[in-house]
Formats: sequence, structure tokens, C-alpha cells
Amino acid sequence: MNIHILYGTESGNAELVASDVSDELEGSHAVDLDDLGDFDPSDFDDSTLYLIVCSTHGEGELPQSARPFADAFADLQPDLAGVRYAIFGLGDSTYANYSRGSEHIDEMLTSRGATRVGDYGRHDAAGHRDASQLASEWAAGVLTAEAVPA
Amino acid sequence: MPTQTTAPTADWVDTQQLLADPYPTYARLRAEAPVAHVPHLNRYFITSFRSCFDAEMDQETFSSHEREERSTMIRSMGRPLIRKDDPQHKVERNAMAPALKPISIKKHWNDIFRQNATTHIERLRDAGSGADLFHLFAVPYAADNLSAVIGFTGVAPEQMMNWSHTLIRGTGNVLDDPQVWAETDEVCAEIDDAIDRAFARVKNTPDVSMISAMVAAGLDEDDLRANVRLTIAGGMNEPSHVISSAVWSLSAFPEQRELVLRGERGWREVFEETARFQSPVGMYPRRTTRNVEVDGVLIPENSTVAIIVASANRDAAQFSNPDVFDLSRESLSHLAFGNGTHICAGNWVARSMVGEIALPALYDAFPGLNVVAPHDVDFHGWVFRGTTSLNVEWA
Repeated sequence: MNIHILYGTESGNAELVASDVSDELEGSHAVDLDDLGDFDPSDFDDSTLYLIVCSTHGEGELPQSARPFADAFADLQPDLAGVRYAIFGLGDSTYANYSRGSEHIDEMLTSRGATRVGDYGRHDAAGHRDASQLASEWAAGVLTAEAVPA
Repeated sequence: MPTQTTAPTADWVDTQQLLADPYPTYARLRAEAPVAHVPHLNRYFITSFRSCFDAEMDQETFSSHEREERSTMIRSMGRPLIRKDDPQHKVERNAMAPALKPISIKKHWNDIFRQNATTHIERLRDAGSGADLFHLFAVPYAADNLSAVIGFTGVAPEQMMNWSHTLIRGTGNVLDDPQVWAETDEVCAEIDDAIDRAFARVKNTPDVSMISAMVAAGLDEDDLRANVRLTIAGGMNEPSHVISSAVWSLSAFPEQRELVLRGERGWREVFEETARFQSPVGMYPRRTTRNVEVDGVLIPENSTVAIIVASANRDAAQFSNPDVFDLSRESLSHLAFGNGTHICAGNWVARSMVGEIALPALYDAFPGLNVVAPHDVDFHGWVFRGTTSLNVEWA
């Protein structure tokens, strides 16, 4: 099972979190890591598990690096039947529409037939938990739930 | 729209009191007039958390594009990105982002920050218990880190400090003192020489520095130079003030220090609570692009507005017991870095160099680190606020 971590980021925090998750998983899995902005939506395949880490910009908007992906996705409307993904959202609960950025990606993928697996992970920048640690725990939980062999 | 109430006038706001300790003034403003016109500063003060937050999220109404003829900052250093609106602000921010983003800090800068911390901790140790942590550690540590991140070589900490303080004095030169302008012109020429040396280096050998990133992005040279000068002005004061404010807070509130030393609270909490409690940048200036109602009163178009984030960070509507330094707050969020599109581009660098590296290194190196007579320490300023010295003792 291939694992492909994709991140959508504004200031680079989701990039760091995605990279830290990748470092955690690399010892036991084949992992690819890409910015959503560099990922072609026609490249989704059903033999890969996608782990998506996405922040929120402003009051619930997509972060900068996810916007070209969202535009290409809207144009392409890919058929994602059989594609599995898990999602981890970053946000700050002080803002309206906390963690909504990741939900845009979630809704796009679901609307084209992809299946979300595992828990919906979230990190609140106003809270006391470390984002990379929380995301690594989330990723481990997703892999266990999906029975991905180490 | 209903008839709008004119903002109340707060002619009682005293500049000397703001410089000495602005928090009582802010508390009175929040209680009596959270939006008020302060005539002798010719500014509308916004002091509540919610209204500061909302104003910062609305750059179309609260513009950063200061008029050149009224801007001491532009006179001092050119027009850096914090005096521009999007889309141009975003272009320049993206150009410097590769040097300032978390993954670059983790994979590149943190090692350099740790080396610098070790160097300056040893200098503080050599000076002996009772020495001035602000001048012997906080300032040179911030200066050397800043040099590295900008992409300078061979710039001594004292020179960096002089550049920073001179540019800040220029930004505060509302009385148009020609001597101050002469000094800012001289400092800008010296900084330009350092930038030219960096240009020569990164042209052949690009690196992770801000100058290299901005050159690679093709940023206009005048914009690049203005942004480097801004980074020098802002990148010295804030981290050095937060370091000394954090050590001061952990001395003035020893039960909070014990929580940290026992591992019940982390250095991240210390950093965020210090930034809230003694915000090193207290005020962001904005200009209204239209008549706007805030907290039920009118701020006319083309007014200068002071977004008082230091007051927002002490607003009891957002923070319980706001005048207490408390590492156990449920929410770590605050407005010390601003928010919205202009949120401080150096915020990840500051969090890392101070919260992840400097503070744990200091308390590890100096068991029993404590400020000598914390309640006699002099904090100063309201636009920029911090100590001017911090004598510490250790076991």
C-alpha cells in the first residue's frame, strides 16, 4: 500500500506537520509527500492511501497552496470512485469557521466519490497540543483502522 | 444606516503615562470608550479584543497603505510590506516566506539558533551572577540570529542593534528632527553595503536566507531593501524584549516558574503567555478607507486608527484575570503578532528562537535563574514595550 501525504498550507505550518508525519511513517512505509499545489487531481489512484493535511486561511478559507488544486479539481471533476483518503485539519478556534479550510477539500473529494477513512483529525492552534505530535497519532490511528501493514 | 454617534474624545490620555505603563489607560478606555479619539495623537484608539481582531481581518476598511508624506516609517526605511495592502503585500510576503517558514526553521535555522544561544549563554555566565541578561544575552542572541536569517555576514551584534534602534527612532520621529533623519540615512547606507555583500554571495551560491529568497523571487530591489530594513527594525526589539519579559514574568510569578520547571507546563505556554501579557508591539497603525462604525461609534474615512493589540491582550472579555501571568489558560491565542493578512511574517522564527531554544537553554544553563528585584525593573513604551536592562542571579 502506497501512502501519499498531501498538504495545503498558508504560512508553512501544515507543510511542517505533513513533513513530520512523513518522517514518522517513512521507517515502516513507502511514503510520498507533496504540496497540494503541485499535485494534479487526475493523478488520484485507488491503490494509494492519501493522508491530507490542510490548514485554514482567514475565516474558513482554503490556504494559498491548496487553491490551484481546488481550481484544477473544479475544472477536471475527476471520478474518484475507489479512492481512499484521511484528513487532518489545522485551524485556530479563536477565528470564525474554525478548521473549515480542510473541510473544503473533504467535501470536494467526497462529492466525486472518494471515501474518507479513519478519524477526522484536527489541531487547534489555540490549544496546548503540539500539531505534529497530534497529527502523527492521527496518522497511526488511520493506518491501524485501515489495517495497513507496516 | 442609522444616525451614527461620533466617537468619544479621550483627551485625558497622557502620553507620558502610556510610555511608563499603558495598561491602566487601556483598562479605562476599554471600560469607558473602547473606540475613542485621542486628539493630541490625532488617532482613533481601538482597545477591545473583538474590535481589534475584526479590524485586522478587514484590510479593505483598515488599510495599511500609509500616506508617504505622513509616514515616518517610509521616510526612515522606504515602503516595506507592512505599509502596503494586498495584492502587493502578499507578493512580497511570499518572496521572503521560504526563509521564514517552519520547515526551514526546523531543518536549517534551529541549529544556528542553538549555537548562538550557547555562545551568548557563556558570555552571560562569564559576567557572573547579577549580570544584565538583556544586554549580554537577549540582544546579541537576537542580533546574531537575525543576521543569519537575513543573510548578512560580518555584522557585529552592536552594529545590528544600532541599526535597529536608529530605524525605530526614525519611525518615531514625528517631530521631524533633522538629526534623526541624518542618522537613519547613514544607517540605511551601511545596511545597503551589507545587502550588496549578500547580493554578491547569493548570486553564485543561493542559500536559505531571506535575501536569497527575495532575489530568487525576482523582487524589486527597492522593495527588497525596504523589507530588509523593516526586518532589522522589528527583528531585534521583539525577540529580545520577549526573552527578557519571559524571564521577568517567571520571576515575578514564581509559582508559574515552578509549573514549568516541574514539567507541568511547557515553554510554548511561556512564550505565548508572555507575548499576551507584555506584548512587545503594542499598536498597529491603520487608515480607514471609508466611514466605519466600530463598537457603535463612527470612525470617519481617512482617519488614522491605532489598533491597540496590547490592550486587546488584556481584555477581560477574552481572557479571565487578564492582568495575571497564567500558563494554564485554556486558549493560547492572542493578538501579539496581529492577525489576518498582516500577521507577523517572523512569528514562527520568534516562537522557535525564543520559546523552543532560548528559554529552555537559559533555565537549563542557570539553575535558579531569577531576576534581581523584579518589581523594580523598568518596562518602557507603549508602541514597543520591554525592559531596557534585566539583572539576573543564579545559584
